[in-house]
Amino acid sequence: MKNHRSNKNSKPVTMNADENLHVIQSILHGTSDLKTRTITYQKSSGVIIYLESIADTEKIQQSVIEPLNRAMDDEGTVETVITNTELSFIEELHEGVGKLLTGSCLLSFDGMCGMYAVNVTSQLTRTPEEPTNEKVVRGSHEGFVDSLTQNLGLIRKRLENKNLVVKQYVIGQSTNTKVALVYMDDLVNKEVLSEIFRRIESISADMGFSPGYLEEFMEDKTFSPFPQMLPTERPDRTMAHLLDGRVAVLSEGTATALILPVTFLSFFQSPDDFNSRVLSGSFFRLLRMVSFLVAMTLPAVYIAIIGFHFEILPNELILPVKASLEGIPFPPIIEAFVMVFTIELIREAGVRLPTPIGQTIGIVGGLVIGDAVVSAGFISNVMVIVIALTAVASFTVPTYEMGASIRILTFPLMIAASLLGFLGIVMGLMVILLHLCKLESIGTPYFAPFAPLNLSGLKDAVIRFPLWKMNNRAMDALPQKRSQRNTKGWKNK
Amino acid sequence: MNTLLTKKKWFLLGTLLMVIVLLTGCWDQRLIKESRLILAVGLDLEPNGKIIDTVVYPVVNKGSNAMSLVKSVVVSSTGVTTRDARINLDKKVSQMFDASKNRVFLIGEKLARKEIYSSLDVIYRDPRGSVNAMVAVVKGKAKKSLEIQPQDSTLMNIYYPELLQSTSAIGLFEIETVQSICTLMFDEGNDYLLPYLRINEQQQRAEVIGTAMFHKRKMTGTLTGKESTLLLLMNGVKQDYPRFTFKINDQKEMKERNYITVLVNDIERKMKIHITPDQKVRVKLALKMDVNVNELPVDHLDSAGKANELNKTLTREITALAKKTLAKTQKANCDELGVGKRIRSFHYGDWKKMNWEKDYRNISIEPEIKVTIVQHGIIN
Repeated sequence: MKNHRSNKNSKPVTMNADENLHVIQSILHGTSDLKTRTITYQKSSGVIIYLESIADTEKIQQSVIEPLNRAMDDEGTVETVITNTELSFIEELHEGVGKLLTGSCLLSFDGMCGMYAVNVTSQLTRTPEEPTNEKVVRGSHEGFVDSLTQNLGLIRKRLENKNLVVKQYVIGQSTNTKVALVYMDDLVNKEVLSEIFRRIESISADMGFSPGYLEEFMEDKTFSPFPQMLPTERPDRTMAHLLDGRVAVLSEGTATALILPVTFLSFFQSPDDFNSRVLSGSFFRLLRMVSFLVAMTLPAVYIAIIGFHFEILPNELILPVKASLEGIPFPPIIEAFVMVFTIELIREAGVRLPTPIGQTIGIVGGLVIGDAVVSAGFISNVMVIVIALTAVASFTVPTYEMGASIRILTFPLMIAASLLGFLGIVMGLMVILLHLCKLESIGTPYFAPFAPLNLSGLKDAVIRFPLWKMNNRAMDALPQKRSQRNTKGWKNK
Repeated sequence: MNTLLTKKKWFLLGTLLMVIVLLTGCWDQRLIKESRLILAVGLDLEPNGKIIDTVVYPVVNKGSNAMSLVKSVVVSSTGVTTRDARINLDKKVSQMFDASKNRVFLIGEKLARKEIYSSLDVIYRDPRGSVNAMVAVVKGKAKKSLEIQPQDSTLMNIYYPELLQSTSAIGLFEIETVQSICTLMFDEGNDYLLPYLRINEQQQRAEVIGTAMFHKRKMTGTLTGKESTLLLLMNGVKQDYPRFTFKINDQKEMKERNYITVLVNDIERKMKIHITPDQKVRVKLALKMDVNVNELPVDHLDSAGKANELNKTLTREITALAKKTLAKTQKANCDELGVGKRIRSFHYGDWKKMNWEKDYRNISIEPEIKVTIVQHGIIN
């Protein structure tokens, strides 16, 4: 592990336990949760120093005090007596403080030129629960928790493989957050991996508390509307991505793993696709792609139609549409903006409020605004339908980040449509498409398998082929091995 | 250097966007709510040669509770040309006219007999012209046909297309649109039929009474409903439900018992053209019809003998009707069957020597019709 404050003015541990304690206290500015307990071992008096808030007193009792007391008169060094699995000898005081901050307790004895650090971290964890924003119908209902070690355990549990490697880093000058990179050594592309190492090592920030931070520090284009790393709270999804040769980044204190490099299409895949049957899996996947297009373009297309090209409406539709638009005081673009704005308001209010109130907001917003605004004649019926459909479609994208990106992209398209009609939409979509083709996620093509086109890649990315048909790994993360084993042994081809 | 470039780029992009947004005067926006949607058009010819343009557009009256009543409004105006008349109309009506969603063109007989292309020319030139609007001819004035108030639908733009569609389904004509008649108007040796409507003011309805025969750009005659149906079948076109009612005897006291109604299930048509060296044209038109007896109050079809007898009667009746119909088309110089086009395609040497404008009347067309009863409903 690279380390905790490599202070140049670090002091060596002295022979005097009390003096050591005073120095540590002054380094920690006399914090109140620093506790001590005096102890004597083989005639030399000493002190146990620990941070009450993160050390487990029961562990100190069991693995430090009791063994020392039992062996009070025996011969034997502290190493042989203490039963804890993690014990280290420290000669620098600042190193000792570092240990203290990670949840160890320090043992300092008079006449000993150094200190022992024993790991007694208290395990403040919650049980793995199903992630609320990535629910599946069938399959695993386990989600990551807020503890890094436990999260790594959840991955290891699913991948009993000698090639699974965890590399730990510490990020954040003030927070000293532990960050772990997880990958399959035999699959991951070494160039991609070293690039990730390079980027993570070069991060220099005071705070590194969430994957959002890491993402922003590592991604290629911050101002792109598209997320270039996939956040997930699902261990099973993480595992599947690891087996495609990708890297997962986990950090202490968050339940989210970042997968990188990813493609545009991985945001539309859900573990449910492979839990359900081939046909329904493919259908749902296609549905999500369609919903992406609908969410992005529907308001724009509607604005273009009623503002420029209403002759393309079928004869049966033209009268109802015209009737609903009659007497609306706003031009279509304003109408659409008002509605989209309202829906975003309701959504944002609902997210931040506790569930019962959130629901009330939904009802108030949906019924009152939706209904009243139409009967008052401010907004047309059809516009309400269009915007509602768009909102629903944007929520079907399994990843929240992508859904949000799509909702943001509707605005420029709506403006383009209101200025130039379909021509504007085409121009807008062209810009988006160009951007998607150009975008890279850690040096790998973001819009694969469309650009560069890879037909066999489409069978996993767009629709979901039967598992035994997929003998090639997705190529977008440039894995070392192309083939993967998926055969139906009992059936001869 | 790099940042400078990006800054420049951003500035350029921002300016461009602002320019686009601010140049609102260049918008070619046409809002649906600010357009008068013309949904049906009637064209008439005044005795002094001016065109009367009558249009129907919907007006929405928004009531409470977002319930809206759609009413159709009829206005008309005159002008020296169709567009001139439309310009005069625009002076009378609020909002801009938009004819891109027009469903039907009703042409007064007087105008149709003179020429229809000139009135339609404006539509072909307009990129948003409603070339898929149906075309029909009205006996009398087209203006009147738009002023009636049929109970079927309060909206003319729904009433007429539906009327034409349902009548087309019973085999009277094929629906012709502004686009489809365009080529026929200029095609040598191939003419067309348009639906022929009559207005019944007492019942406030329009009624399809047959078809109007056209030659090139003008109407040259009319056919009754029965004749139109048969002509369409002779042309090899079978619509969904072509039906005929024929008299099979006249002895029964109850008049209804003298008739039979058949529905044509299937047809097979063959046309053979013989041209003698001196350009005498003989057309053999073989038409086999499989029919389904819809109505036969007089008798039961329980034996093959009876069916055969009926087959013969029907064949005789239909052949007579066919001869009469073909004679009518020849008199009107309406080559609906496209005989001329065939000659032009397959006997071009002869075609060059002929003058189809005159020769069509003199060719001999011999219908050979064979009717077979194949079904008789669910009773014998």
